[in-house]
Amino acid sequence: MFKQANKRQILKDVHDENLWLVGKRKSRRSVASLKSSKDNSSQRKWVQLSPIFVAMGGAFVAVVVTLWFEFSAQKLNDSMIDVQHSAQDYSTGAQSPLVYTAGFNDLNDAALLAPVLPHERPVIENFKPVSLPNASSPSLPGLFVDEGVFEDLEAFELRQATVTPENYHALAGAGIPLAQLFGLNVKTIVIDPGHGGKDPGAVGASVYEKDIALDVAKRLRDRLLEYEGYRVLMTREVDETMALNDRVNFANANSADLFISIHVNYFPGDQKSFIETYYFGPTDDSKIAELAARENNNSHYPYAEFKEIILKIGDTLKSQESKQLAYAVQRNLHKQMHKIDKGTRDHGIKAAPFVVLLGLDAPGILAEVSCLCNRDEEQRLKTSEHRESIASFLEKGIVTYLNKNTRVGGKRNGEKEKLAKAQQ
Amino acid sequence: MAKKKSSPKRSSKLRVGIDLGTSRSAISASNGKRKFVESYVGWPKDFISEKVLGKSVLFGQEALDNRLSLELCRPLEHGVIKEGTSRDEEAVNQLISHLIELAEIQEGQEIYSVVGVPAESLRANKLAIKRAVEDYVDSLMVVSEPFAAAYGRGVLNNAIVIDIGAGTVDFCIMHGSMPTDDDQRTLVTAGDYIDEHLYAMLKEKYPESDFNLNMVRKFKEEHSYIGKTKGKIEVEIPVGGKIMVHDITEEMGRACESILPAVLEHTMELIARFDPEYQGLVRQNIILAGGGSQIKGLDKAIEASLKEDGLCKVSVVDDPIFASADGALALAKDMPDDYWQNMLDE
Repeated sequence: MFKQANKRQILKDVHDENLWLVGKRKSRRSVASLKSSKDNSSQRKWVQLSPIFVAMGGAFVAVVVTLWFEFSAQKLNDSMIDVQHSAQDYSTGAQSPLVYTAGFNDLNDAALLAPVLPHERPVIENFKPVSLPNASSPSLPGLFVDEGVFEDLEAFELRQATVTPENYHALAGAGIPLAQLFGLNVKTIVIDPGHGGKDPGAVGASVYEKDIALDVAKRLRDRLLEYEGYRVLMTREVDETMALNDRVNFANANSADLFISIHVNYFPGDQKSFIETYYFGPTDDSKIAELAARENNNSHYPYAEFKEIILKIGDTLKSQESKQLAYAVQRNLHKQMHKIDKGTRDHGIKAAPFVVLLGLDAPGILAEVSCLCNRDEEQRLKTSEHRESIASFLEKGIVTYLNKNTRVGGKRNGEKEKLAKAQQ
Repeated sequence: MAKKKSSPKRSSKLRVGIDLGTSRSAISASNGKRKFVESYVGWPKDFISEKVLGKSVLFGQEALDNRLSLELCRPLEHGVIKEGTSRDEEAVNQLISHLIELAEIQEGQEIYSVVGVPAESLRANKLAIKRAVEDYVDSLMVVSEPFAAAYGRGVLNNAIVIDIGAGTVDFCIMHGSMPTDDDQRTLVTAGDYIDEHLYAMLKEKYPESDFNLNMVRKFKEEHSYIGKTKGKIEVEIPVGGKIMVHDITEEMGRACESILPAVLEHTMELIARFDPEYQGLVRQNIILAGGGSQIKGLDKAIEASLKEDGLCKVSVVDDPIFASADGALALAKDMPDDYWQNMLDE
């Protein structure tokens, strides 16, 4: 049994944690009466969202807020043109962000929405409650949300948008998802073939990890380029030595939105194939630490810089996104590889301190797509068909992730059937 | 000696514990009522369906049984309300209403509720939970499911609770204080993952057989195991309209085992977070809760894997369907009146 003192403290903690939930208790009504009456508008308090992203085009200003939930927005003054949001895909149940856009004709009105912090994610301290503006004081332009939304602030995501007065109505009214319109989706995918040049990576009986990784990466790039609206880049396209920090710098310099590092596993003494996918994080597993040390061998990061980068681990959203991406890739990859070789084991997704994932601004994963310690698998890797298959499995995993988190652009003409096949 | 028959005492306050789950949702109330319902809500597709069914909304197994006449909704993905779809929010709202009704609350009673939700989702989904519940209760607290299960069991120190549900596996370390975000983990490879995995394997093995995910879920609930099983697992599945017996022994074992590596990895990681002096105690106090804890041999498999690094003991809660709801109720009961009162005054 736990100590009474602890119990009392725990109850207090639960109570303190939950204060916000009960501050607006409704008057007691019966369940039956509530079923017939759902109007709770009188219960709402409103708070101003600040900062929110403002994109300016001439005298026209669009305010863009991306949320993972719906909220009520209202037109605050005459200069506010409209408040619109993108449609949720109810048919598939896919979760995608709702992009709320408010257009203003008057720059001065919109300028009150300070401070503007593009590229930065607001945290709870950036939001301050204000009272609901009434009709006689329309001097607070902006978007206002129910105060309960405070609890969901981590879901906020702000991105830069380019809007002009000329295209705003045309584009917004054309039924184009605003997430796409404002470039809120993943746009740049960087594929990183592991090792290269003097660094062969894992060495099988007759193949090198660096060659397999490069070939699969190229095939994956070609497949992803078939989707509209994506820029797919590779850290290396030939057999060349490339330091890990150069790969990271390449991804960051190109404003990568996703980073996929492709590797092939090898564990001495283990004859079975296994698939595993890593995202960045600390580990206590000595085997993973050993693997990370091997993969980090060519990092060229000075110790001080490495330490500084470690501090970036606090970026939880990136970590969560990376984990989701790792999960989607691992699941699809293992499922398909298992069909080819029933002995292929699923080692799951794991957190590991790979340097190549550490300094990234974008979510990233390191996928060990195959295993050179298995002789049969090594033989299969020599065939272009198998490497093409692996690329398609990776493609499917990435598409699954993108479908869950953003809207994937359609494939170009003639490729939609291929996409459908990949998603099966 | 016969029990003394007490006269029904009318209480003005009713405490309830609610567990909102992907697969099942449960309520335990201080009036002694304990009910659960499969987390399905269905609305008749048209007026003919409504006339035939005689109801405007159906819940749980009844909804499943009549799914062809219904727009069926399973609104609690990963144990929390799917965001952005008003239909799902409405479904959760109806589900809560149904649970409250099942608890047979008397007119005029004030309802103080504690709701359990998946650990890592606790923060991000509080608002959605609040929206769904606030119409039916007077005061509300939201806690993580594994914490509720631990509280109900009275194990709040040097323990790890692993709550294996349909949508998520929730881990929570207990160290004598309220668990923080850092003390909790959520995996999405849970019961539904096993179902999908098993479904895919059976489709591959028996391509001509006619079965769906719901049937596979029932197979799992009846026969799930890890390790060794006594004899074959055989189920009846139609093939071309004829009922045939199918051997699913190997596939069942492999599907259930598929969640094990991730569970072990996270368990080890959480054990390592304890002070080294107490890690031995924690290893003796690993508790499995949730429907997934009923997988035969799961506790032994975890014990066997963790024993490589030292002795450990894994136990399973007695009543997995109600463990979190009962724990939430225990919290609601133990919460001092002045805390509730404090809330009501605001």
